[in-house]
Amino acid sequence: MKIIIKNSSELPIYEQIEEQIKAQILAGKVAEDEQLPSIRQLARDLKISVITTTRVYTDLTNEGFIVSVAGKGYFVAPRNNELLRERMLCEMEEAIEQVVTNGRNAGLTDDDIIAAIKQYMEE
Amino acid sequence: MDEIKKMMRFDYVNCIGIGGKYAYIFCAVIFAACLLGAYPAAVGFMVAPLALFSPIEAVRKGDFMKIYGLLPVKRESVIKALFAEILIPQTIGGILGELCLLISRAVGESGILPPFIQEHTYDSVTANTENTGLNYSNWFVLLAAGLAMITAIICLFYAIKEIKGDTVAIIACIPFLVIMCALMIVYFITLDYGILPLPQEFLPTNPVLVVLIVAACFAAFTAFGWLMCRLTVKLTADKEM
Amino acid sequence: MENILEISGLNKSYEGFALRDVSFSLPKGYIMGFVGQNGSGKTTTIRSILNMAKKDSGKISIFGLDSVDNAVEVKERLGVVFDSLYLANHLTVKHVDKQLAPFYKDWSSEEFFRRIKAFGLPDDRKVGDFSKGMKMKLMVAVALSHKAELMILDEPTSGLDPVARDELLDILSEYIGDENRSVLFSTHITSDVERIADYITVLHGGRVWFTGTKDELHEKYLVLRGAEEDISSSLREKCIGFHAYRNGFDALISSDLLGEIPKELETEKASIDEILVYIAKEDGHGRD
Repeated sequence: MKIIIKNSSELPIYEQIEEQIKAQILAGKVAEDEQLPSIRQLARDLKISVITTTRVYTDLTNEGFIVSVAGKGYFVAPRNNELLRERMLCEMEEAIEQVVTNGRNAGLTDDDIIAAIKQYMEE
Repeated sequence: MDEIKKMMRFDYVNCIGIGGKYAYIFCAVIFAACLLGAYPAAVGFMVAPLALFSPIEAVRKGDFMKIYGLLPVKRESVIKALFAEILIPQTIGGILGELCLLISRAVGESGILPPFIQEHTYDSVTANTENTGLNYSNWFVLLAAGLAMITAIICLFYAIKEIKGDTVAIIACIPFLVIMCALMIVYFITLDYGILPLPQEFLPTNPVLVVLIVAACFAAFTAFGWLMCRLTVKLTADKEM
Repeated sequence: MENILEISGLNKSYEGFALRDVSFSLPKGYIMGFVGQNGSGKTTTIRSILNMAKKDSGKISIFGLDSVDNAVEVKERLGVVFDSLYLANHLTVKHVDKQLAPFYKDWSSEEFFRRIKAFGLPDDRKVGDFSKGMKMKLMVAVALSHKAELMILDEPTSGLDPVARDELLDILSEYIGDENRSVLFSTHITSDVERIADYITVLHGGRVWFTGTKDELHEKYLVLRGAEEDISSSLREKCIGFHAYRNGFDALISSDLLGEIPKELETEKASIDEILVYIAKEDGHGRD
């Protein structure tokens, strides 16, 4: 897993990490059931506060991206996980909305937009 | 007791690292001189323990002092160790000095030394007695008395230093040192002109009396040192490090 | 959460300076940044914890033990790093091992020399000839070798180069890794604690100005900027360290007042450094 913290970012460190982990899970770059570094290990690796990494893991657990296994640590949630699925669908809806808005703004008809999506899927 | 021992070991490592070993060389030289019959050299044991102790003082300053606040020992143990570091070497030095006097006398009288050395050490010292007025048994008493005085001044110095600081301690001890030196100078000058009686006329020569006086001197400086130690512990209980 | 250090109502006055009602606590397993201007009372607080300064009133407990009544036991379990070396300059690390080993029941010479090696410290040179960074690492090595459960650092990074400072942060994160040990890190170089500290205590003029998690501190205060005519006088009153210049103003403001801020003004997150500067300005110190 790759995490990059930018000191210049306006986003708080915990949000930066959350966003990056989420993106990698959604993009499938991290395999399901893969173990994540422990809270303290991650804090140590990134040289950040333990409270920050605790918050990251708590948030990600609540959002269903990762699961906590007592005594073992944190793991990437399985794909069939309801929460994660919902989240992905939500992301898809947002993206479709974006596609439709952009397409209409560019003066395309709805059929043109659907055709473009189909074409993309065939590629 | 355990804490005091630990502190003494701590200070000892410091002093050995900074030249405390020269104290042992100094003692060995004095001892050798005494073995060759030059018994007045035994008074060197009055100051030899200082050579062991003063390096400890050389590092006891500035940031280093913080360690005494950090080590897991009671503050009074640090002070008790300090006084033990003065009294124990001074007592050992004193006993060695008295022993050296006995040995050197025995060596000198037995005539086992090569004539050349005997002539320059034991004989010349003994012959000198007529000028200085100091005979052999006087040296026992003088060594003990000098040791008691020096030790008392050192104890007083450290007591004041711990309670009031370096500067006050130096100022307070100057008069004692000046008086001690002045008395010695005046005494030797008047002795030269025959104004005062020779030491042998008033210092005891009776062996029993000599032993008693020597023992009394040792007891006196030990008691004084112990008193100063108790006083310092009491008065520094609330002092900050 | 169990606290490894608890200070409540600490008062201590010297001529011209006083600590007033200092209270804060540090839970087990975390790092607390202890920040404030020079002279804000950080060192006096630390000296009080170590029982080197005699407090006037208040209670300090470390590992649940009283700092005065149980001073010896507390110090046995405490590691301390000062900005200057507290060991005799003429010693080598071998002497240091010999000297300190008898004092700590958990002292491990093996661990000590392993650390010395890992920190790249020479074992044949006098410790007085060490560089500032090496001296700092030596003190850390001492603390680690007797398995100290709380490490207190008083301005350990002043005068250190960035590499040595980074190394220290590494060591500290590793140190608290087992969740049972904590670090109290006093510094005026706030960038050192900005990232790794879990808790922050800001001392100002002998009082605790803020204590809590670092996130709370960052959420509680914002930097406010804009043109002077856009801020109402009542809001201006509530600003901390209001600083006006030719083209506008900047100030620190509590995030509780976010609702009162007109949209012409801009807010952004405040770094610990900025917070310290505004507190100082509010006091009339450090005015330009």
